[in-house]
Amino acid sequence: MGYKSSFSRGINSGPLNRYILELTICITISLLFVLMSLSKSETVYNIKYLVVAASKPGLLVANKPFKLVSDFVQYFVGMGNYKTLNESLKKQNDFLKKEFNKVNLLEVENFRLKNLLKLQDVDYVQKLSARIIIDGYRNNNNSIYIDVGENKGLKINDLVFNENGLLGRVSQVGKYSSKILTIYSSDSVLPGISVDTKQSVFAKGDGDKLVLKHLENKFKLKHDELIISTDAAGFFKEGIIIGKIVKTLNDVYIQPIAKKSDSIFVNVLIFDFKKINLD
Amino acid sequence: MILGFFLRIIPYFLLILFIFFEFAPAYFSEKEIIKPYFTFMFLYALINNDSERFRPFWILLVGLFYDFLDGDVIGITSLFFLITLHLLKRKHSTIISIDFRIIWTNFILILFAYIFVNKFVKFILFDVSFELKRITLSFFISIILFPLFNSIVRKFKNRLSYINE
Repeated sequence: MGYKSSFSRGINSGPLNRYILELTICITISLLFVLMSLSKSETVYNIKYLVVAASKPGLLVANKPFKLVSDFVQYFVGMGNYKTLNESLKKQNDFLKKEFNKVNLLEVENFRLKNLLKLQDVDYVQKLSARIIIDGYRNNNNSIYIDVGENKGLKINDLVFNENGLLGRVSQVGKYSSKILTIYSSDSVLPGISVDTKQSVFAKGDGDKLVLKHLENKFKLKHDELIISTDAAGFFKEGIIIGKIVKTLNDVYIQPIAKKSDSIFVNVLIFDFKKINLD
Repeated sequence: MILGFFLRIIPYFLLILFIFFEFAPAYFSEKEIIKPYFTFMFLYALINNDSERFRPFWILLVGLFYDFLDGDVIGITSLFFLITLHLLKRKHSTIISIDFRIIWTNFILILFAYIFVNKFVKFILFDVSFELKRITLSFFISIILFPLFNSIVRKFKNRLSYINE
């Protein structure tokens, strides 16, 4: 009685042995690939590259549902953000509406206050710029000359000022030039009011300062307070800075802020009295 | 005949499809996503329910294709499934069973061994970081989903047998 060895059973023809052979070959190939990949073989990398490149269309198609789901999720996340954004915009809208109402109220208030103060856009005052041509400062004289005259509509008593305040008024008018009597001149008397103590004053030129006229107790004035022009004399424009109060132990006077030497350019206010509404 | 051919190739077609589905997000998404081992589940369910149909050659091809897309250790999936196939085909198999609980336990053990060996080799030899949280979640999701896959494959196999008869 003969017995077959296990080896001979393994190589017998038959479905099982074909399977064993195939399995052995496949396991060997798998092991070979494992070893090659562990040794970081170039061949494996090349095959991998080829497989991935060839699979790209399939991967792209397979990715579509994931992309759809991802887009769907992102859309809903975005919807959540839109809700937050919408709430934020609503709040902003409410705030701006309130601000707009405030602005409207302020505009109405401004209009009302303007009416109360009788402030209105006037067309009877024109501002001109002019250049000093003969400087009274250099000539040791309290007069200056500017390069505008009748040709620009200047008249006697139009006010001249610079960026710091009042300089004087037109005293003589030529066709192309005018003479300005500065506030330093003893012939110049200005109506003004003290800003803090609300005292009406008349300031007369006195060399390098202005002396106070027709004021019973000039010591009521505060040191350093501003004096601005008023329209008390009829031809002055109110609100132009004249100078500051200087108080000493025995005297009170105004130190003008604007000087002839500040700039060679000055402004002139030209009044057209015909246009002034006397009502 | 044509119907029979189509029915015969459907499992392979589905396998390829699962491989694409499993790797498409990894190739086109910047984020690391948690995904169950679809291909592993499906292939295991196929082998478990119809081990006679699957020739080692096809398992080798599918496994290699999977590994080429997966990453660094090529051949490890096919090796695992070839061994699994052989164990399932043995007459007195220790892992073949009618009881689903045993099938499920075997699946968990084989999946665990596969993930451990695969990731460990990658970690040791290829310096690939071991993302424990993601791998654990994928592992547990696969375990939970396996009964569903197995029942679908079983129903499909029964339907196929019915058509063939």
